[in-house]
Amino acid sequence: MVFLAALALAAVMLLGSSLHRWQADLSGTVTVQVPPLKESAQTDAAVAELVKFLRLTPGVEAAQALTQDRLAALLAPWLGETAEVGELPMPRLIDVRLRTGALVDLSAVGAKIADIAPGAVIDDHQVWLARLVRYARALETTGIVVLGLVSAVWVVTVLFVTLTRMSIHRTVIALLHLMGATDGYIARQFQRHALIFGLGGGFIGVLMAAVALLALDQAAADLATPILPVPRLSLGQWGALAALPIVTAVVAMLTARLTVLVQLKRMP
Amino acid sequence: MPVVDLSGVRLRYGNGPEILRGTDLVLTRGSFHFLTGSSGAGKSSLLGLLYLTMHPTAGAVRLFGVDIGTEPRRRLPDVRRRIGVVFQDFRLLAHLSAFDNVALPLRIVGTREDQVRANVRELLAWVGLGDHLQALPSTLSGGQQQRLAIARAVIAQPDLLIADEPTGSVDDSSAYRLMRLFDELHKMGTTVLIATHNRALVQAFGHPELHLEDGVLKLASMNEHG
Repeated sequence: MVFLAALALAAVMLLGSSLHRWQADLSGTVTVQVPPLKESAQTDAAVAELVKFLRLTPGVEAAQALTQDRLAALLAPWLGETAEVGELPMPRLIDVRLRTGALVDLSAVGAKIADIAPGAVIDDHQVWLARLVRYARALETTGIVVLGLVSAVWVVTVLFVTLTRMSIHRTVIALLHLMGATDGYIARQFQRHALIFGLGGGFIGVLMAAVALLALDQAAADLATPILPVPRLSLGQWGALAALPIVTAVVAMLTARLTVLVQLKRMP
Repeated sequence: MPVVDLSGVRLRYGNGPEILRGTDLVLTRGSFHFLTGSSGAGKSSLLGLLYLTMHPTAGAVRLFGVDIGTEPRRRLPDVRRRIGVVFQDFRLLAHLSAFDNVALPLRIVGTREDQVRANVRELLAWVGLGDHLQALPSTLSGGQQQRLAIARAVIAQPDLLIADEPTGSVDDSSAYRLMRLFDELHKMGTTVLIATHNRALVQAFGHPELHLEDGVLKLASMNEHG
């Protein structure tokens, strides 16, 4: 149970941090695409003029045209290392970073860019980013639901284990009750067992999950491709996973205690 | 103030016949009574009312001046701790040693462990089990187990000692030894009520006899010393 909860929690945390990183990486940046002209020299001149214009535009912090080598590196996962990118009719790209908090009228800038280099367009990534965010949030929600379901199953499991133990030890319970043990005293005997049971199971589950996550991490690293960036858990997120046995144990303890107290109320 | 005061108590299980029909019972402090009656007369049920494992269908149960019917449930453990109970089937915890069985009532109330050790050793020696501290109940004879059960029932110095057929599972000689234990406890000031169908014991020890028949409790006889 804890193994599943740990995997679900890791997935939720990874998605959350990936989402945050994507949004941070892409917000405040736009890309200008310049279609190739008949002569590459003409294209180079258009790109240079656009870069000059963009650098002078209020609100723009930096503008940099991507070199052919950089473009080739970006396209390598799809086209291979040996592809001659320069011979392909690819648009030239200008990476533009906006100043934080700056309000830039992108449609006006886009119109001006089109004047300078007909066919050039601005891509602010928002459409693509919005779809990516929606998809990631759906996965994140699924992960949270799975985590919630696993937690609910854990609680129900502890409840039935406690009821079973109470049934097995009913004569002992009756005797303690007869001797004047309070409900709290009797409940403590069960919650102690549940705490140990929860801690033990929790550690084993988290350990198994850690092994699985490290194996996945290694397998993903072997891919060595920018198509699939390798999400990694931060130290804080590993810490959250490490805390799972304690959370599990406390939940088990409280569930056992509540179960016992409710059952004992039926005794005179 | 009487230790036990039952007034007009009635008891019925479900829709069955009345086990107790308007029972009145007063046990004064330091008294010793036998409770007799044929099998199925309701002796165990009456005792169950006294050690609070059930509530009457009607009537009032007062123990140590406390009206059990109106006392909040969370305060009933305090009343239970003033009552020691001995059963025919001993009801010892099989997985605990003799020492730990007897220590249980003290540990429940949080007695310091050094005091627990001292009191339990002394009491086990008194009941003749000083050499069996670590013995499991299954390794003891019937008589020894019952003495162990008596020790557990009295370790916390209860005001009221109730025994339900305490000699039912032991031989006659053990039965007499057990009864002498009860007598000793009574001499120390404990109020004692013993349910038994052993007429020989009742006659031998001569304490007042409360007879239960057809759901009605009567004082059957008083001994000369009564």
